[in-house]
Amino acid sequence: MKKLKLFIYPVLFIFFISCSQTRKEGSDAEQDHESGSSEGHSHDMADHDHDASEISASASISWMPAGTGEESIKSDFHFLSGSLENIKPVVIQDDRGTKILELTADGTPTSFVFHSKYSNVGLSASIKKVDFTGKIELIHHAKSPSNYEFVSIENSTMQLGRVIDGEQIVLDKAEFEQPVQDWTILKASAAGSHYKGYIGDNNVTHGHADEMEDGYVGIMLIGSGKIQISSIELLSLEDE
Amino acid sequence: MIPEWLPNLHPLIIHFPIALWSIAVFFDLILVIHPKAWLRNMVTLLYCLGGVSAVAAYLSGEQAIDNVSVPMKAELAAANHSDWGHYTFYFFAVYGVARAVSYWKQWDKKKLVAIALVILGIVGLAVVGITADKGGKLVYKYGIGTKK
Repeated sequence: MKKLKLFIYPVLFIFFISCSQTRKEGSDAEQDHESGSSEGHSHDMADHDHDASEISASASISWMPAGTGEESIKSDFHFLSGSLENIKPVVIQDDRGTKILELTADGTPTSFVFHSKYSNVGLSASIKKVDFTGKIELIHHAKSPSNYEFVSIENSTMQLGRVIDGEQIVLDKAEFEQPVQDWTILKASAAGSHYKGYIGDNNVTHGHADEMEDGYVGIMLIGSGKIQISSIELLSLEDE
Repeated sequence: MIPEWLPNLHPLIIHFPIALWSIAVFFDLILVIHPKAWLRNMVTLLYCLGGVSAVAAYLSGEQAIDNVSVPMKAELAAANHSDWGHYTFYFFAVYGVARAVSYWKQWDKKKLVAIALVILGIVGLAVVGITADKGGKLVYKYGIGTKK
């Protein structure tokens, strides 16, 4: 009988583990929020609340410029540093009639972020450096101009890191081959303690650090010259 | 050396710790009930090989994660799999060493120690099972690594 018990208990243990795992998966709804592009406005499933104390959002956003440059920025973003005057936004159209947001940075570090706060998040921006010289950063977990996480590109160097109380910590740094002169998809993701930076589908940087508190997500320009943005995709990464 | 269609070595290696550990636990249960010298040797060897293969799986996973295209919506799943891969690696490596030491010192011949070891072996099986589940989701739900 004792020998039989020795068999039964481990089997029950394995059964319990597998059952609890199945229950967990069964209770989780499919969270793939893939919103389609919506020209003119951000397609946002998050609450739109400009209050800085807003709780974390669970959403995906597919943003494309519309209206005037000023309207385009004001409707979906707010500034953490700098202002409209520092980037002079205008909306232009390319040969195909696609609206593009063109920013002319005057050298003042300027960051504009979506209104909601996010925890685990993926951000993707289609950008073109026209004559911009300096650093283009995708920022997330941003609370202020001196507290945020970033994936930055400058020339052919990508850096991934965070700024804590104004002090920059680089988690990873790598060169990438593709020159950012034509349209480029720059991506950043923060999933748990895993942080990544991509050019297109190529993973360039990957670092690890403690999770930061929820924060805003957006773009920071540190430099001067023209840059164009055709779209920004944002995805709140859900646990499964 | 590896087939052209295979993105990296990780999918080739990962089945070894799962299979070796599962067989080790099965025979470990039998060993507790029917202690035999040959069974004891085999179980210890299986756990040690399971530990070594877990190290190989961990290293190949570290290499693989930066060389496959991960869709944005799968980033958190990839991060979770990576975290559980770390836990499995640490657990298997430590347990493999502990098992070898207890074999060498003959501690595993004591009934209580043998029972404690087999329970920990089952815990290891649960850990690798969760890791495998999360890894399987990356492939079969998100298609990661299915295109080179």
